[in-house]
Amino acid sequence: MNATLGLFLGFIVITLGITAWASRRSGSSASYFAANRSITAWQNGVAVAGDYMSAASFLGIAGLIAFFGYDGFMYSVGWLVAYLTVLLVVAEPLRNAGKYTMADVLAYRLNPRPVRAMASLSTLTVSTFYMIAQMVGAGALVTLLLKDSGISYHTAVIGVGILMIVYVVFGGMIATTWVQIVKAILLMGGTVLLSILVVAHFHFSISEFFNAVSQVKYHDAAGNAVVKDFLAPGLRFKPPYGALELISLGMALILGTAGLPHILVRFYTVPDAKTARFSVVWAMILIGTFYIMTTVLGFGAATIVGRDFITKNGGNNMSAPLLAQALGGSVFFAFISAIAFATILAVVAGLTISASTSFAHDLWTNVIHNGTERKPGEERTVARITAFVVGAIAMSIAIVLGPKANVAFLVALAFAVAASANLPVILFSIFWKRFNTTGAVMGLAFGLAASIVLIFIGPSIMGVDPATVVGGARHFIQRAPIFPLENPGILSIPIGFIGAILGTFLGAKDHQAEEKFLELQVRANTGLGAEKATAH
Amino acid sequence: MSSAYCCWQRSDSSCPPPFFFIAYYFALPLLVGYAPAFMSERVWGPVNLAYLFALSQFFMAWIIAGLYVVAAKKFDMYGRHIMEHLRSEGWFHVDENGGAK
Repeated sequence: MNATLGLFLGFIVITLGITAWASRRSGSSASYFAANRSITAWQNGVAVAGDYMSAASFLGIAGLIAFFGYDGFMYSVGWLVAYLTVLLVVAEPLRNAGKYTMADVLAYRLNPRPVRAMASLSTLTVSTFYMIAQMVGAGALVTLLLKDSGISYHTAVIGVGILMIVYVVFGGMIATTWVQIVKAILLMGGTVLLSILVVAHFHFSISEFFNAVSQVKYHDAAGNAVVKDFLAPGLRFKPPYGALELISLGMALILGTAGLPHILVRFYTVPDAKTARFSVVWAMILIGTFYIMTTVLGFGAATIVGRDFITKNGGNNMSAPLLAQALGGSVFFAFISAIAFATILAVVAGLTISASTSFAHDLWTNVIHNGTERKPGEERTVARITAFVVGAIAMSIAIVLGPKANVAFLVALAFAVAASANLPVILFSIFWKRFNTTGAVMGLAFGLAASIVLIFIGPSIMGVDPATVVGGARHFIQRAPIFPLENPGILSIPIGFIGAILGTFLGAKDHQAEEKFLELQVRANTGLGAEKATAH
Repeated sequence: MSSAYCCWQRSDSSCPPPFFFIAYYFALPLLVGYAPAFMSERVWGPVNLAYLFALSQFFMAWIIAGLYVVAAKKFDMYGRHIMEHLRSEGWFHVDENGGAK
């Protein structure tokens, strides 16, 4: 087990080195918030992949496939296809029309103060919830992977929190980018190796592999031995709500990814829209390859390790590390476990910088102080303080929730808010001339409120547990759920769009916003007046 | 110039339809959710339609991305034309880097 600790310490030393190097290059706002806009296409593509492929996908989806076969694979598909929305609709106009945050594009033709305030609230909600999910995951992982080393859940959560604050406070976007690049390369490397070992286990025969996958043996909850075809749908998404749940999940992924603030800010780090476009393509190559490989890992864990063994040794999130142990021994187990930590660190660093940039740039400078820094560098100072505060809040909540808390719903919530609140207003401000400030504020408010309310009256929070379920694993409200789906997208996304449309027609016709529409069109599509890369 | 914008303006028939992928993607959860028996039909050994369709989504995504990158070369040209047109009409002064003043 100490090999895991050693490898993880190695990763910490490398990333702190990167942070020290980056801190000497973060002297201006453009370098601190946007890495001087001089990240190249492949670098940004790899960083987007590193920002996006969280522990939820590496451990979570591999685990879902190991336990539910095909239905787990349904997640993988959506996580890649979502990038077409980013590529075809959002990335280039955003890069051309904005400066540091998603709200820059919305504020361009609308009344900046109310729009920025709401957009920032939405960004902070998405980032903080997503961060808490990752930190609880990190802490829970440590208690499983390093159970002999004496590191507790609290120590792990605090350690992850301090590291992410250090990366962001001292290294800004440059350090965050390179931590994400290093992590993405490690994650891809580990996944390729593990996939090759799985295929080698089946003598490099695809038909032997799929034959094994089509007859997986395990014991169900009642203790009966069963044999299931893991290539067939229906093991997780069952009637009566399974089909709706699948569609709702798909909507949240396809529309939500293009509204995730920590992904969007990555497109401000490249010199121009064309580079942003190619960086999405790079990201799609990596992300697609990765999610195809997650099926190999998941199916491999189901057939080689077995669901019964995984259940007894930490549950479905441990599928990938246990597969590594079965195929490559304890050293490989340590390697894969260390990669899982690296994954969490890179994602929380991305979340921290997007939350703190939004607070400093949108709320502090533009809403509270009318768009001007009172003294040079104030925005950066505020962002650094925010990173510290946001990190401390996420750490405290993760510690209160404890390692057994069900936090998967926080990830669903982040995607739902991004799809229901952020995306409708981004689309309308780029494509709809009549769109106005009331529409943007109502769209953001409706989407945000609908997502939160539907999650809280859904089966993630409400449910009746038997007495055997104790502590953090119990539902927060012991009553039957009012809304039947875990993913609220199918209802909350239309509510977000309706809010934006309704608001637009309720609000007065805004001639200035309509005049600026053409200006935004030219700017978003030609790069006229776009923020330039700076020498470093 | 983004593909969605180009199609929305109907300025070029060659741009890849940004909404094709949405239809192709949602066909998957719809079919898997409402026609599971059909989708579980085996077509090659134990491999069924559902698995092949899901796998095809990855290639669909890559192909559309590739088509878009090719088509976008033309959009970049349109963008430059618009800039030159605006410049010749004296709408703005452009510095050496192409940024507006």
